[in-house]
Amino acid sequence: MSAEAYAIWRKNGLVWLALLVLLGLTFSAAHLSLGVFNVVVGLVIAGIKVALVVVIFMGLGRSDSLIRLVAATGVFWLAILFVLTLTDVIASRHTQNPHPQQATHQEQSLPRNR
Amino acid sequence: MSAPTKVLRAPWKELARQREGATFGIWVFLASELLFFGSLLLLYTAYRVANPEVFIAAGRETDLWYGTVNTAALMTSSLTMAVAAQAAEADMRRLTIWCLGATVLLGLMFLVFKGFEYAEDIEKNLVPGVNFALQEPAAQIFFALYWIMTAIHAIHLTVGLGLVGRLAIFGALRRIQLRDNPEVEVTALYWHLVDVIWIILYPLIYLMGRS
Amino acid sequence: MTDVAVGGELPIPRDPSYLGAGYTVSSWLATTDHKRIALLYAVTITFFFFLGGIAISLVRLDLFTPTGDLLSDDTYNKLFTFHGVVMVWFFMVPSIPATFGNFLLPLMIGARDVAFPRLNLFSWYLILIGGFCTLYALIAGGVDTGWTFYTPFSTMFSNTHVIAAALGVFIAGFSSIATGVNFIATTHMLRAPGMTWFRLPLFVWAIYATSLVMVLATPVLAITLVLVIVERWLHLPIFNPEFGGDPLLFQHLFWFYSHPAVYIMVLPAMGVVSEVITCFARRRVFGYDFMVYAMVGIAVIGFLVWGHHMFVSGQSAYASIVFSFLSFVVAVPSAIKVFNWTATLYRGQIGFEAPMLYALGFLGLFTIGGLTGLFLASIPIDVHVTDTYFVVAHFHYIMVGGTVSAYFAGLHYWWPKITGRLYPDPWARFAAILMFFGFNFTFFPQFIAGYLGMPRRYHVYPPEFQVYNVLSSAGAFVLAAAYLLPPLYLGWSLIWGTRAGRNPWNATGLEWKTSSPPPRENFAAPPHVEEGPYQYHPEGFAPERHYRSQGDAA
Repeated sequence: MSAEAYAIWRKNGLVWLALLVLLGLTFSAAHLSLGVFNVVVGLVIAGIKVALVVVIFMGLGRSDSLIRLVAATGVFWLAILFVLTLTDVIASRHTQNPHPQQATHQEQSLPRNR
Repeated sequence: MSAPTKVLRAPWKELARQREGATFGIWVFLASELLFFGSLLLLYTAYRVANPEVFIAAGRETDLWYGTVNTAALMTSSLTMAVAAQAAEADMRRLTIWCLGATVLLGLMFLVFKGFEYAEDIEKNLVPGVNFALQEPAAQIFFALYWIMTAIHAIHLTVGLGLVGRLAIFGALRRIQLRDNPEVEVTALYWHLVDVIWIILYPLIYLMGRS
Repeated sequence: MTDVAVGGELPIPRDPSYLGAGYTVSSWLATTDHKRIALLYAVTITFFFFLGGIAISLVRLDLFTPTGDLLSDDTYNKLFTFHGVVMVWFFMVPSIPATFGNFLLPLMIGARDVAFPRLNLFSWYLILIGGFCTLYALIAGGVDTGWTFYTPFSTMFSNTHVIAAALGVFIAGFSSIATGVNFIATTHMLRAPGMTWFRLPLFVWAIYATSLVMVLATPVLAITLVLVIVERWLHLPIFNPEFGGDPLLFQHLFWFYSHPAVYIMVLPAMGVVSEVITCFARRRVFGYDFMVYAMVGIAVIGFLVWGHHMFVSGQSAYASIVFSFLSFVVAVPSAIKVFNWTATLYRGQIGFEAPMLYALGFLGLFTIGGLTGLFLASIPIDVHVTDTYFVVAHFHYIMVGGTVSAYFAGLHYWWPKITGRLYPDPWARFAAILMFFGFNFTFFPQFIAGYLGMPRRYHVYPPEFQVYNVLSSAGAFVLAAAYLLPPLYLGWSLIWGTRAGRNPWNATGLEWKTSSPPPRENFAAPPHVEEGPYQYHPEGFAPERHYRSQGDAA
């Protein structure tokens, strides 16, 4: 294998190994009893894996600032969607009628402010 | 054998600029894809916030082994795709074509396992409907999202296989030039997106309720 | 009208115009020339405009009387749905961007074509296919959900061709995304030497801001429609309350796109107005930088206000307050633009040719529409007028009074450039004035009817609303007549109109420096830009001082 090919395999192979290790980690962590933190750990590890793929495999680490701006814009816009919608979802749950209603088939009542 | 089709095309005057333009364009498209899948993730999040225990219980029914093996396969295909793209830039034609081929094989492997997994899910009555396996109504929403998210991902993956396969075959036949070709970079970035989406889906679908 | 030789003119191209570069059908259907693609789009959207217009003409005809005696309930529902779906996605969204944007963006930045010409052609095919799918839904019997496809009616109870219509819009959405990607890349990467960002014409900025919205908002609509289709077809519960699904989540996803969509519809119109007002007032635009910031601001803030469509749907009060506040904020950049256009007119040498009449109409009608938007942003008022004709009037003032006026302004302004022909201006002015009166006759009574309580989407209504409905329907037929005039005299001009020189309006801008119509390559030689846009009057030029110094009594 030429030196150049070796360099390419080495750089990307290391990232791949890191991804597999993280996969093993998240797999094992899922079997631990962490309560609400199970989701957090799973998503954090997924976030690290995504960062590795994006920064190294997709080359965002060596891209110019315009490309990074595009990526950041996508993430920011997704955040807008999440934050404003979940504001409504969560606020609705907190103003929910505390007395559970019997759901009849004539009238479906949704757990929202009535 | 006829010469490969020219890479530089109007309105671009220099290949370097055309490549920059193609890379920029695909990243803009990837930002839109983030919002596309992100909407599904938002639904998942909202419904999970509303029904945490049901989602955890429903998540237990997914096949962890298929999911994990598929994740490993897809991440490996990202490796081979990254190597292919960088080899193409370094004008290492044979390495490029082998790695493109490996990417296609790993992608096909993913689809095959997904097919087996779907068959198993159907047998286990995990398709929302009359004979649904779990009692709680919200579990059907979890699985509706499961089927939709994984199916849309699979469709994207299939499109990716087409793009990668085209490069592999036409590159091998010398009908297209692989060196300095913006199509290689564009295909690679798209393929990595397919991997990124799966990496995010994996914990949400497969790692719930395992403790 | 003759050409004016302006210093620093580019050489006139010697190649045949883009219209003459090939006469076969495939030279049009397989073209990658942005100018031809613009014309393909123009034909397509005009077709859909007239279809949507026929649908609503039947609706307005039925509304002459308070009883539903012309149409059945179901047919009525299908007609207003068809009107909305077709007008929003197959006319308004593509109109200015895909026709004038496609034609002019490369010309205005001094490029030879858009960044991805084959993608450009593909995006036209996408809208064509989406259009056929939606037409199929119509021919097979129609859709009755309203253009908003609200669940659970659309997913569980409607007996009409929801899937076909949703699929058609889904496909058209990808046309939008592709166009957006193309225009963003073109603006970033293909500007001529010397064409810096702050030398760009405001129309280019408008198209750029619109493209950002297209790329970021449309994917959410795409997924939402997929979910509706999947829930309806495969019965996978997503929004079904029986399984804990929440129909309000549909509305969140739908309006996350559909509110920014109205900015897709209005931003390009604002771009056209900036081009026309500067030219026909012979004035540089007032406050260029703020015009740019305002457009980008509208594009961004427009993403933060969607919940104002859901004040009465069961959205939490807390979220409603946030959305209401942000909806007031989004009015500010639009207002800045209206002030700046007005200031541009001040002390101008105003000409009243047809493009200017349409642009001035835009100013007034957009302002009325925008102000009524503020009423709707206020939750207490919205609770009373939501789902009434007040809302219908509001959005028609902006979309029809605003965007369609601007579309016609652009059509008349750039007609000589696109076709190389001059149209008869007296007819055009007559049509513009008729359109203004017809429009106000149609939609102003709707404000009153809505305020008094007439609900939208009803064809049976209490008799006390009849007077407003009769006025509105009568106005609609005047408006329809006004819309039928341009095809007649513009079509006439194609065969018998005087040939246009390269700059019949004596306008600035790179598009006027090449021939009318331009050659395939756009320019004979690549332009090199040395100055900013709208060089209509020099810095510090005060007309009254100029005339007084020449001994003028005025």
